[in-house]
Amino acid sequence: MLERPWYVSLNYVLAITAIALSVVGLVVIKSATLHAGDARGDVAHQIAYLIVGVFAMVALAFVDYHIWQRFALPLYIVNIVMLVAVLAAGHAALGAQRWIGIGPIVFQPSEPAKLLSTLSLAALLADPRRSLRRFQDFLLPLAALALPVLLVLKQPDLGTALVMIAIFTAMFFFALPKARYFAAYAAAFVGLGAVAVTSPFVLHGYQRARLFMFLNPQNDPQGAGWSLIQSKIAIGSGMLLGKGLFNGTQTQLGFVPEHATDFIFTVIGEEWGFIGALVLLALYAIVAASGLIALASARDMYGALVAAGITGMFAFHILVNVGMTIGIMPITGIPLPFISYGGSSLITCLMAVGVLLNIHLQRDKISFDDV
Amino acid sequence: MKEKERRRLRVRASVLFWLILIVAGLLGARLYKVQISESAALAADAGDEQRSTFPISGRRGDVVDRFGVAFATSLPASAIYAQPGQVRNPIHAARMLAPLLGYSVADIESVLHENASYVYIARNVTQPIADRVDRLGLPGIGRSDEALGLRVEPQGRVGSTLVGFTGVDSQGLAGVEVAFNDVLEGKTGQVVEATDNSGRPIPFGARVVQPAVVGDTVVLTIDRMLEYEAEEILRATAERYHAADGSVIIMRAQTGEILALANYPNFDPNKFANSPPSTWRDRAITDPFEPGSTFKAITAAAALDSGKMTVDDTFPARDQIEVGNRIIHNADDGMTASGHRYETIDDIVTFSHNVGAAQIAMRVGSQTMYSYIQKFGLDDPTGVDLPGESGGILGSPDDWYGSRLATIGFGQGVSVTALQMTAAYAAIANGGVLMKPLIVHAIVGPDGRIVKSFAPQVIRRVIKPETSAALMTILRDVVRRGTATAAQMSGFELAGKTGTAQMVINGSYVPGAYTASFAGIIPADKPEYVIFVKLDRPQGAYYGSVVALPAFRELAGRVFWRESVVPRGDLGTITDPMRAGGQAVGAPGLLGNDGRQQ
Repeated sequence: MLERPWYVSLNYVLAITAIALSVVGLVVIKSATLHAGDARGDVAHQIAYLIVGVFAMVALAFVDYHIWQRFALPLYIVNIVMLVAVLAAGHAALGAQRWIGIGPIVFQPSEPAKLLSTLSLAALLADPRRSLRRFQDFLLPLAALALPVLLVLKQPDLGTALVMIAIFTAMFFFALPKARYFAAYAAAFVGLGAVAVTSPFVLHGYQRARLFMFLNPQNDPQGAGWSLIQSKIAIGSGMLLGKGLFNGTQTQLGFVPEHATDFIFTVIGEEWGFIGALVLLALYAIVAASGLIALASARDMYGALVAAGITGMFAFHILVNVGMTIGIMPITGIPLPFISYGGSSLITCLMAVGVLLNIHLQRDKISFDDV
Repeated sequence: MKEKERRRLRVRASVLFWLILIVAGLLGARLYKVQISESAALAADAGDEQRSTFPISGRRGDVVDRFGVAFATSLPASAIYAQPGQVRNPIHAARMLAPLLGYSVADIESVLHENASYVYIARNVTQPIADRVDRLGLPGIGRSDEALGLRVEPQGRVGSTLVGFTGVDSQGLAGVEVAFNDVLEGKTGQVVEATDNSGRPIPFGARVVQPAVVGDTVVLTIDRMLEYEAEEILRATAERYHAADGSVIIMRAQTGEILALANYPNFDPNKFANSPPSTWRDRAITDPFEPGSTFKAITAAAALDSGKMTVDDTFPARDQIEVGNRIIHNADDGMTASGHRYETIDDIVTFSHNVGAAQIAMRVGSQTMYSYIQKFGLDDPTGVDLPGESGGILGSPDDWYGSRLATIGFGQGVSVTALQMTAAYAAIANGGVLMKPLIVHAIVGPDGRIVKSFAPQVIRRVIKPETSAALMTILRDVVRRGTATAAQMSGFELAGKTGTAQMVINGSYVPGAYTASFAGIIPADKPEYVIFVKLDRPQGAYYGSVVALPAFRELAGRVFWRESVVPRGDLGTITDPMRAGGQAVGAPGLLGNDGRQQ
């Protein structure tokens, strides 16, 4: 099947970048949890997650991605079962029900759900029997997307729901035969989105408050605006070169909430400064570029769509997560890939990279040379 | 994959590529704005957030007597606190702490069960007790310094109404403690500490300490020993006659320094809350009263100093006159038994004739009387550095209708405070100059250097030295041959005037309620001290010569002894000054002139 041996074709840069980002995450979590006893996060746990995640990434890199296409329906069903289970029997934390336990393992199904949705929905979109030229061709994929999105929204986890929509949109962008179909989709999406954010049936009050607060955090500096004001103070006080590793004050001293998880970028901004933040964004750029290369050189439509979904997922995560800490995106609780504390997120990210690696491994020789 | 599909993918991939690039540029630009353009302001915000400023209070200065003996001082003290989460056995801890801290086991236990990270069990605990708590080694129980210290009054009730007391935060609430609060209060220092979002100090964080400064010490003019004697003699006298209240002031006539200022009742300043607020009052300066006959010295001063009368002028001796539809009596029949058909000013004061005093006042006239009363400082507050001082109640001479001028002549229809009266007698004694009553001698810094000293302050000359000398002769005659012969003390010369007045309560005279007083000047031949004694509502006897005079005499002996006033005369007849009280207080019946004064 492979035209060249795997050790020649493997995208080492992507694999190493992913592991490097995860190690950066360990260091940053260490710093974030240095003083404040109330910070969620523990480096020892994260190291264990990283080891599991690297094994999973390597394993997936050598599992032919077509198997996911073949078992798309079972994957989809597993995904839905987990999301239903978390609603039925999940652990609540911070006002949302996101965790589920299987034996000793406790995880957030909404994290793997992003990858499972990508793998299963891509199969639906890449199905040659569906030309995607007629309106009814869109119904099934949209319905298949809507089910996990609604389940995640129910937790409630607005961030993950948006990530899923972003993934689907990225895949849709590449699956549609005509650009104007996508334009229509985008227009419809924006319209629906506008209805959604204003309708009381879709969003909780606090979600809407958080969504729009970022435009004017000083309206409620002690309440909804607190996170953002503190986050900007932390990042801004890092200045050009940062305060140095483990020397962050705003983050370590608990001024910034959730600074080991959703707001972990504030630690990087404060301790490593503008330069450090740019280096981190550069590392993410390598991941995104690798995703685009895998997409453009994918052996078939399914591989290309999966690569598009994963690339879209990472890009959306970074835009929204980093954007919210510096006040250009609404505050939605989604983690910074590879960096934020949490096993479900880290392992999911590494597994996604594993799938990308496999798509890249099976690329068309010709197309690769062309790129 | 078909070539057409492949091309489509590539075109769209490049679109996505540019989109991602734009997004990355957006993030980078925003980061530039936050971390470079606006970073200075944001970094300043960060610094502000981390810095917490804690004030640290300086220990309060002492209040000491003229020899440096403390009336009020602040001892190092500790607070005993608990971190309930770390207390392993609350019942055991409560049982161990209860006897040391003086709280019930149940109270301490409930504190230990509080849902807080840090709670006080006891504040202002003395060091030995705190040391014993330490030695218990109870987990979760600790001590911290009380920056202000524990305020204690080692002299107890002695000087309590004068010195006052402080509240829980060592702020002055009464007496010298409140009048000199700014001086006594330490200067607050501060600790600027790096803290986290919960205000907890950061280990090894920045810590800037500006040390607190201990407050200054207030040195009173009071002599603790004389203060004690004054308090004790006043208390014994008040208890003997079941008096409602009373005051004693001992003042140096030349300087206005107050050597003792006692009030009855007083209170224990260490437990001031246990005494009713009425006992906290410094009655000698807050409560005006009608002085009665002690005021005749003022009337005589006005008559002689104004030149309207001389010591040789006489009045027909009468037992009653009618003034403005009111008949003024001498206090007792037989007053004319002085054996004269005419009487001089000296006779009138010596035998305390109301009729005579009224006649003097009327001859002097209301404007002159008023002006002398004013000059003696009997209308306005004296300006002593104590809180709550009251002035006299005199009114304007234009409003002195009917018999008012006549009665003011013998101290009725005018009210003064004990301190005003003392200062006025000091002016008579010192040659005619009104001195501002001094309560504070100096303010001394924590390093022992004098920050401020209070020099004697002349308010004004009131009467000529000749008038002063004439008045001293009259006041000596009161003791030699008048209403105060019981005050005689062989070896020592005393002068003074008795006073008995019906009390005015809510604007009217109360039958059976009298103020008995004595204003004394010692030694009479070389006047140095004024002793003023006053008792309200004595029971059984009410004349100043009976109730207040013995206390004056006993105190005069104490002052002679304490101030080393050397007696003159034959050693065989010299009174032991420390025994001056015995016969007089013990034998009121021996006093020959009991009934002769108002």
